Amino acid sequence: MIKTTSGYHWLTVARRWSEIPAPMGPWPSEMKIYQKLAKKYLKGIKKPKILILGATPQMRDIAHAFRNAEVTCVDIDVNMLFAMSSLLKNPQNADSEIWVKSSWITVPLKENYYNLILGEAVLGNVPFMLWTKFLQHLQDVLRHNGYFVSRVVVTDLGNWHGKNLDEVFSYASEKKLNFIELYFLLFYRIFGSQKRKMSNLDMYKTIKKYYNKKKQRYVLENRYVEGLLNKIAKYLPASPFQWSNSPQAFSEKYLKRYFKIIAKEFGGGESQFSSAYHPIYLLKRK
Amino acid sequence: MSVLTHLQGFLKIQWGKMGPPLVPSEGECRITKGFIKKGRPRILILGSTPQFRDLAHSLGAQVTCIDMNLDMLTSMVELMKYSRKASQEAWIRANWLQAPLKENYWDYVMGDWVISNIPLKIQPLFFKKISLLLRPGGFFVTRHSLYSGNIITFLGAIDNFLNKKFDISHVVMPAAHLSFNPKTYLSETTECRRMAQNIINDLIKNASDKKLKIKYKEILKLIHYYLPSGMTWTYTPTEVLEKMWRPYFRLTKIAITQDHLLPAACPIYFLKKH
Repeated sequence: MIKTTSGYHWLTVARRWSEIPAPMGPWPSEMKIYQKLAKKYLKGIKKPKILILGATPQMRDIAHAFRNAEVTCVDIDVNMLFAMSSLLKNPQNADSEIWVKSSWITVPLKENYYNLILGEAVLGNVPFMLWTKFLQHLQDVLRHNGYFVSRVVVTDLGNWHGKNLDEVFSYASEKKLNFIELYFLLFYRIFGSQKRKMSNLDMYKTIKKYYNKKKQRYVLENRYVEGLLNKIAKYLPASPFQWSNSPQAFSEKYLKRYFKIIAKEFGGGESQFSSAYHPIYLLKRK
Repeated sequence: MSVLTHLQGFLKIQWGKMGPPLVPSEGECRITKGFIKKGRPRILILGSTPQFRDLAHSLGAQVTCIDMNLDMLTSMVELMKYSRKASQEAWIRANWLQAPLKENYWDYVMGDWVISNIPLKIQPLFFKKISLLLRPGGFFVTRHSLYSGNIITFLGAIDNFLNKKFDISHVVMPAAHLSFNPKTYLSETTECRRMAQNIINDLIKNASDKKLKIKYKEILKLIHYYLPSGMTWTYTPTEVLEKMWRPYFRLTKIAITQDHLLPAACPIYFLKKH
């Protein structure tokens, strides 16, 4: 078994990651949008230079579909780069990639260099206070006519929040949501639709408090929801890491400072709840 | 506590046993450290050399390491005094010449025996690339490996080892230069290993003392352990290198130390970007 410096088996990490469904990663319909946009805007470039934010295998597969592409992946955790490589359509493609273990905000890459940056739901990983620095840095490394394609997870989901947690669970049970969809719904129900820092730890605390107070037994009476909650606990443990998600208008305000929004597309079909709400932006460097 | 793969574990053990001149000595690190200004300099390290990473961390530098082999970057962490700081380093798995690194950015680029890894024809390009990365006035600090045959022969090194004047690292270096070609400056390790084996086999044949025969066998085993086959190194002399770096750098200093026994074969160049 191959092990890494962090002391965990990266093949196990890869297996666990592959078991986590969309919307943690892109839905197939969203993948088609990424592919379409990348194909359209890299047309005619003989040796496209593509920067991948993170180690997401789907994004790396899109990049490797272009012959002669120079693919650079940046992740703060080198183990993720190793782990996710085994999930590539052709894992050998990882050998030709340039790997960078660094923060996205300080990564010392060449300026005005990349034709395309792909980042799957990356904005929410960056603390709000660093959004300006982050987007500025992406702008710097992009060529003047380069593009940044990214799905942005937003918090304004219309009526899907539900009035209370019971309603959220009823909805999840009725629509047979997967555990990540329920996770997203719980987040938005608990933290609201405003710009907020959200952590799994706070979410678990709120759920516990709610049920202790109301002495509700709903979850235990609904096997389906109980199963989903068990999976959330298994795959997304109570960590203090804070996601920085915001309403669409707030994210766009920041994106527009450094990029021109060329297109905004939504996936659809797989899930009424999530794919229709998180836009994939095609952004051109200003 | 970190967990390494078998390969990483082997690299760690193999490198951990190496001493100067195969790795930078304490004196060489002290000279280099004294040259670098404090105040969070941006240092790019070519390769994974733990001594240089420690040196950079001891100065509070922002450290970026670039190596073709991520296993080297990972395994060398355990040989670092400042191993906890490794998480703050940026690592890049890429070719030194092709890596899309930020230009006009680094205060210092450092590398141990890096020039000998680059084919002679590409060495001028290598200097150009380093100069592009450095900010104006920045320094390229590199320890270089020169051909040691003029200083000590392989047989002389073996004698010194048997007389306990040299450790094995001082024998491996002349062994790595056995196939040195003075016209091309190349030395092929596979050929070096073969030549070392022939020389030692002759010594064994002619030795009458059983203990001495065992000693020779030990030396050969260690040479095979430390000297990987299939590599070609370029030991370009200083005067040839000077012509290559002149368009981009000015040599401000050449330093050598006396804390190992082959200092003249390992000068440290301090090159200032024009």
